[in-house]
Amino acid sequence: MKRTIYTKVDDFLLDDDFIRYALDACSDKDSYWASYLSASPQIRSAYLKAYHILTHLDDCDMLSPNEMARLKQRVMHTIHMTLN
Amino acid sequence: MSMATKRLKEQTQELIAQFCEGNDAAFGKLYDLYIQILYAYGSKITQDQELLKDCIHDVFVKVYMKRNEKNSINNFASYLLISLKNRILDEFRRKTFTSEDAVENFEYCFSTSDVECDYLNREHQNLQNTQVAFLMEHLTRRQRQAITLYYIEQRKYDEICDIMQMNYHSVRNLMHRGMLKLRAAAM
Repeated sequence: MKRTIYTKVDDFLLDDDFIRYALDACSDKDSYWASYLSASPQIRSAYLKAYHILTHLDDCDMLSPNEMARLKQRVMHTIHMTLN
Repeated sequence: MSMATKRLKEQTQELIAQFCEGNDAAFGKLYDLYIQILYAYGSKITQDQELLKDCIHDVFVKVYMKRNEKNSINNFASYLLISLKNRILDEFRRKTFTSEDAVENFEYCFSTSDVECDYLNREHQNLQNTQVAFLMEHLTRRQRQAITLYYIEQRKYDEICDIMQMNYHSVRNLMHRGMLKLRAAAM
């Protein structure tokens, strides 16, 4: 399959196939995506940044424990209301 | 795959199995495992925290409702992230089309994020392309060819003359009549 070469972090982040590659495919070395490792430095760094956003939590925005709990409550509440 | 990712995957599989058997506590644990991952990813797509939380809420509710479709969720992590992304993009789209403001104003008001801007631009471009394609249907084959060469392929007149095997005046006439038709159709 012919693809557009991505150059921006966002391009990668919005691609379903890339998300699956980073999270499920055990970073298959034969994958199309692995070929980005030999791309130009700029493109390679966008690729790596996107990859790290998907697989790590370092330097990322986080919800506070409080917000986490409140959102969880909301989810459970909606489920409860939908089921009853 | 890193050890952490591997561990996460194993835990996820166990929890999903329990959850599918009707264990609600397992669902709560899945939420705890993935909430920060989803939030971190979502915040790269939108800066609107409330919108993001709403979308995460919807994704988890959907997961819960799907618990009876066994094995419907194979790759949980990517399933969650892709669902979240699609929810957020749907929201962008919905806001764009229900807003009375032009797309430009919308970007200005709501977006501080590049992704959101890019997405809206692309969407706007797609819409325009569709409209143009629709209008082009009103032209004769030759008119369409001339206009495509000039405006879309951005060729010069002498090239167009060559390609179409016509002289300069005929090409100009063709374009002129074509543009008149387009304008009339666009009204």
